[in-house]
Amino acid sequence: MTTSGSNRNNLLLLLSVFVIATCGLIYELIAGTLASYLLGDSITQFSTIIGVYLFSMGIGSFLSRYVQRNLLGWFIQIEILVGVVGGVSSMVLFFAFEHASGFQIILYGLIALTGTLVGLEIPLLMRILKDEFNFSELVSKVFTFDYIGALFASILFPLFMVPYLGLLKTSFFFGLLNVVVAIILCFVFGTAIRYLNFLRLQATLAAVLLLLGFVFADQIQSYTESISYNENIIFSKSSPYQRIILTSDRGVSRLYLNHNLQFSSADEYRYHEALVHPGLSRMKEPKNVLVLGGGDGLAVREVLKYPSVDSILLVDLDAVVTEMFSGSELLVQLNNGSLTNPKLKIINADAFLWLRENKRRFDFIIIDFPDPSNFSIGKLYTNSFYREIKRTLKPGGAFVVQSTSPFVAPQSFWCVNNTMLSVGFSTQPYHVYVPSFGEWGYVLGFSSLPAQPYFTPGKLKFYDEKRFTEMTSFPRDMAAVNTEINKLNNQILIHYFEDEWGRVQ
Amino acid sequence: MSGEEFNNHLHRRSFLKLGGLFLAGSALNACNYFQKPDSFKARIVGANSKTGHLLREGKFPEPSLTEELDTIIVGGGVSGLSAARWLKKKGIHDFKLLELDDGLGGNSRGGKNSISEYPIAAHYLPLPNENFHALIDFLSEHKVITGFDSSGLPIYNEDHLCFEPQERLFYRGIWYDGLPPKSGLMQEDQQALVRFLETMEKLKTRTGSDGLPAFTIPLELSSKDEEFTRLDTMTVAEYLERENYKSEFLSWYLSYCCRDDFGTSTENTSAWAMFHYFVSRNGRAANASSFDVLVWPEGNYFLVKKLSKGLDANLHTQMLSYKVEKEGERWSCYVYDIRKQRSIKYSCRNVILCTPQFVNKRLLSSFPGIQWEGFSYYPWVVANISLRNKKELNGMQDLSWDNVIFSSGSLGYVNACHQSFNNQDKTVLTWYYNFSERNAREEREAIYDKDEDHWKQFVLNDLKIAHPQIEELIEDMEITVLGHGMISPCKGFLGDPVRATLAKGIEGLYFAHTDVSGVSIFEQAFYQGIRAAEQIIERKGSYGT
Repeated sequence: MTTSGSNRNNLLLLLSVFVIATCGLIYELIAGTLASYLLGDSITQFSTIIGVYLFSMGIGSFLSRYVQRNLLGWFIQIEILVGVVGGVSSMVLFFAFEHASGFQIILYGLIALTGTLVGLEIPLLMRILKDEFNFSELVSKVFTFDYIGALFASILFPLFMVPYLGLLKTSFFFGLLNVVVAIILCFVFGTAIRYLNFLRLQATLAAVLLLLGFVFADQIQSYTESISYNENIIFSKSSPYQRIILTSDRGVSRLYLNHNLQFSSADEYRYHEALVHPGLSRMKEPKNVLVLGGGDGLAVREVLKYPSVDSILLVDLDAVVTEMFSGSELLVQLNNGSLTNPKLKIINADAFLWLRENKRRFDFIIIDFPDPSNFSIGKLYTNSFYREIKRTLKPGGAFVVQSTSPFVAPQSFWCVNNTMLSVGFSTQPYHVYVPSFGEWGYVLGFSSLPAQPYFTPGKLKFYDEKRFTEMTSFPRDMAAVNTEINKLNNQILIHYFEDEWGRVQ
Repeated sequence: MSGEEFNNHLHRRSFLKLGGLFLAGSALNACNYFQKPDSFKARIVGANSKTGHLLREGKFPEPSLTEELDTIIVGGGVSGLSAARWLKKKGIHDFKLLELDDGLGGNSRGGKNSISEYPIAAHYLPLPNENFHALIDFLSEHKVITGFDSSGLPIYNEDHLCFEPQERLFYRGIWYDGLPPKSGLMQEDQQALVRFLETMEKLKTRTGSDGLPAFTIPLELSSKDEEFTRLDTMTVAEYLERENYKSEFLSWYLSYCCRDDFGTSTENTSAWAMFHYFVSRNGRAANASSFDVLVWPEGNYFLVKKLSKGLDANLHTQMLSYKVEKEGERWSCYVYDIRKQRSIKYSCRNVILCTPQFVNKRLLSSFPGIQWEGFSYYPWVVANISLRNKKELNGMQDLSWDNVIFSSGSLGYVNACHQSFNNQDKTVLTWYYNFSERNAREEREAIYDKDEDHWKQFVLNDLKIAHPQIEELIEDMEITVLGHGMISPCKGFLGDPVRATLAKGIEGLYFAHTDVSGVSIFEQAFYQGIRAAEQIIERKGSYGT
């Protein structure tokens, strides 16, 4: 090696320190960001991830003593590994979240692996360069590049990478950068390295893999459909019936079915308390409750607050939704594990078909279907459907229907009310303000309804009897309007709905 | 439909457009990400042409058995079953209905597979007119009508009233709601359509100088006033020309209607028949409008099953009637039993022929004095298509019950699972094509020897206009080739005296097939079956039981 060649090579190695430091920190930031999106509580997530990462770097440094020969070869090998592991980390984490129970293991496993590999690199590099510089110069140079890299990463990540590239592309990009460094080192140090061809092959394959990931990141991303969402998607899946997307943003989770918001964890209690308690609290000793739709288990959570209720039947079309809300840690926290309560039985079936076959009768029925935005759902708001409900209620029973916003869509809301009236029910329409939805409406159907509740559960976050008076009064801008009756052969409701919500969107 | 109504539905247009975009998007995705599955294989099924040829060749064994009975009904389509039902209802049990095919239904046959039942031909019934009591009673018997409101209007079972969305049209690259579409037409087309439909609407309340309604069902009860009957002396095309209609869309629409309802082109169809189609149906209901129709997964085969109820002992399938002749006071009906491979001679007092006249011509070969030439039947092809996933076919947009593709030669398709509450992805589409560009014989010859692969491509080419990706979504395609479809009421046919002769019957021989009236609709077949049965009951009065 000539002196100038040696200088150039030394600079190259120092630059690779810079790249390693940048990439390492980027991976750490990606993991931290994802974990806070996915699991909420960003302070805990970032603290634990930084801790695990730094500790793993320590393990790496410790392990570096066992590498005795072919230092440069090992250095390149590790560089490739860091590139691959870090590069695919965000993709792996996105997909891993579908199996939420194992997610944390995978998350910390990835962090530990990346940390260990990065931790191995700096000591190895210092040993490679130990003959080129005196000790104080070596330490000074390596750590200068290391910390500059860290600064660079920490500025680049929030200002450029996340907004312009997104998490997936960012991680593929930096993975690629790692591998490119490895490839350059392979070429520059060629003869000094053992197993050169093996490393070159690995590096090329890794580069191709990461490049493909980078190029198709949009497709991978669109698989999770985060394009349509401002928040980050932590779960997305297509069931045979719908697209299910769960997002998380600053600890608030939101569930979307076919791109329509179903709830936000920040205020869903308002929606679900208002759905369940005004009606159910007026039932005398209710025993059997039927919930149609509502596979998220949040309405069931409210129903379980009535000690007299000994059996709840949940009929939801989509097994993917009910399984997700029975199993995922995050979601089970939301519904208090209501879906695994022994009082509950879940049937995955189409509500209309199930209702027609059903012979059981119930004290109270909660109908929590998605808004009537298409013909299939529209059927579940027709007079034919409410006739089936009539047959399914015990004498003195009542049912409640979530019925879109009386403010945004008054015709739709009152159409539900009028359709219920048309099959011979008396109704009590009411509304509540849910911040993520706006003013929201429900209609209670019954043949008679006591003015006073028999039992209202304590410790509700929002609902009490005073609210009921408020909720049942409709100011002029939401006052009743005449509508047609929603029937299978006119599906007038989805026309109203499309018309009224179409104006808003 | 008024112009105002068109505008009211403008908002749907943008929605449907969005659906189109979504469709395009998902089509691209499908291209990129899904491996093309093996294409399905089409199958030809349907009326047993071998037995048909037996009839044409006329070589049958001598009868090994003679049976005497009161009445034989030949043909198990709607008119035959309606006659049988009526006889039974009136306490007459000594009759047999003989059907060539192995199933009943004629032009209202149905099929079934693991996904759904589906129609093979007729697939809907408009709400019957209020004064058609026999039909209203029949529908009440079978809970299609569940009751009557305080003003006497029938309350229909809402499971059977066609759900929204009922019809749509693929027009200039986009699906539009409604047929005719509620939006999307050029102004001239829309004006012409409104003018035409208003002309029809006004006639609904008109009566002729004889006090009869201008056009009604049963068709025989329509006015004979020359003001209306002279419409039979011109074709639909000639009528449009005379009335100075220039709209291309209206021509297409009426051509579609003529092919769909009469099995032939506007150049052939009698203008009277077209008027009858638009004017005669005024059914009212407590819970539906006169535009509503009754539909079932299996189409009108649903009604066939209801008509056959309780008649099992009288109905005999795979019985080929090959000769009907008079012997003294009685009629001899020669029948080849396909199952037992032997011939039987039925000696009876009455025969109701519920077979089309091209069959009767052969059955009654020794029976002079009837001119059969006016009866024309154009060929049809029906494809029953099992779809793996209807959502992928269409993106966000729901299928309608009836889906028509503008400027395609076909009549579009109906969705068998439309009335289902089941959210399954699979469905069966029944696609129809009527061959009537040339004369019926030429058309028949042209399609006679075509094989499955030909029809598969033929059907796909048509559907791909609106659904480029459809081939990948098809599991199965069942092709039914009908050499003779429904009767076509061509120009001058309704004024043809032969129909009146046939309708009267001849000493115990009665004709009930819809071709005697000239329009192939359920109501007419139902009515004519009853009429023939009543003719027998009246005649029985003269010879006793």
